[in-house]
Amino acid sequence: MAGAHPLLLDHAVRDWVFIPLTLAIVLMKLLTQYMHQLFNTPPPSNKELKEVREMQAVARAGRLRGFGRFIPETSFKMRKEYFAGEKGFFTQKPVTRSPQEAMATDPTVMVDMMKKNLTGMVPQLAMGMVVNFFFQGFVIGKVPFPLSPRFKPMLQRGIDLASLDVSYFTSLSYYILLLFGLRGVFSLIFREDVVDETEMMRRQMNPMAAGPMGVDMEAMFKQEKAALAAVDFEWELESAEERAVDMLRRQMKAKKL
Amino acid sequence: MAPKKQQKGKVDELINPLAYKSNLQALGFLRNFVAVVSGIVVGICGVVGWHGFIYHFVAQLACVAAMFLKGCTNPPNYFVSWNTLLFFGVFSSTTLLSYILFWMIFYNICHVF
Repeated sequence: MAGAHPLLLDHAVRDWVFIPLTLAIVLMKLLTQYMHQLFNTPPPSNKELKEVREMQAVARAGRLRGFGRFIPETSFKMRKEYFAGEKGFFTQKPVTRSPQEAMATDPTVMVDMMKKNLTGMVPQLAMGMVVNFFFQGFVIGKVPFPLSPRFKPMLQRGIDLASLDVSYFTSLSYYILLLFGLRGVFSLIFREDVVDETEMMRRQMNPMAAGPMGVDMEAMFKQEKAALAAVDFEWELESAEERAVDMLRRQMKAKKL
Repeated sequence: MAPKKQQKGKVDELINPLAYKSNLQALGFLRNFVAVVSGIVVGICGVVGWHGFIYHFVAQLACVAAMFLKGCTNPPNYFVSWNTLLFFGVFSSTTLLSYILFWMIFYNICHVF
């Protein structure tokens, strides 16, 4: 019976809970966004010259493999020899430390993670606890569409009234909805990808994700060497004339139609 | 409006990735904005029930019409295909959640108050 009647909610609830809660969450999200922007300068890179050279060498080898068909054969062979030859660059022992060592010895990684956590997750959790503490135990609003009873525990935490309509929700669930919904609005205002916490959560839940610190250089060197040896080289300029004639013919046929 | 992508014959199509990305961003921005505004309007009108979502999809289709007015006369030139123009970001969680949120807020303020 109580579900059939629309519940009449007091005006005071609206004035003192709904609007202040919305405003508070919006302001808090704005604040975290700005703090994130201010604190999230990229850490000063403390790599030595040799490490930078090695990373660049790996990048260059990758590019060579990808775009090698634009340079003549002798040039390609010279570069390949430099990288993967007998006394090539990749046969030397790399100086870069493996990521585990880097994580343990380098304190900036820890500080970085702490900063990200502090400006991202902690204010949200704290706000959630504040909301739960102050606005607990009453219904705050109504969802405009009918829901199945399975949504009841999600929307009505802490209220055990079995006959209460599922459409009514409490402040905690409203808080979570606000958190998710304001993402869209903030991406409008800030014109850039604002979804920082969900990205972080996704990254934390994905154990395969590689860290930003130095990749295992030895393995990369071996990989690049093998890949360079396996590349099949063909200079594109050789067949360029035939391909141009082909394309022109096709264009003329298409225009004729 | 974002620059066109080049099109070079039927088989060899070149897409300028920057232009394409900025086109998609413009479309996503518009979709987000329309989701918020339509949520507010629907909330104030007091629409209740699942058919409220139909207004959301109608508004998203209106975005396509808006794109045509903006000068995108030949969608494969600006987006890769018709499907991209019609469906990009319509079912994405950000637009849907924004719509639901603003619908809820304004419905509550105006009608449950």
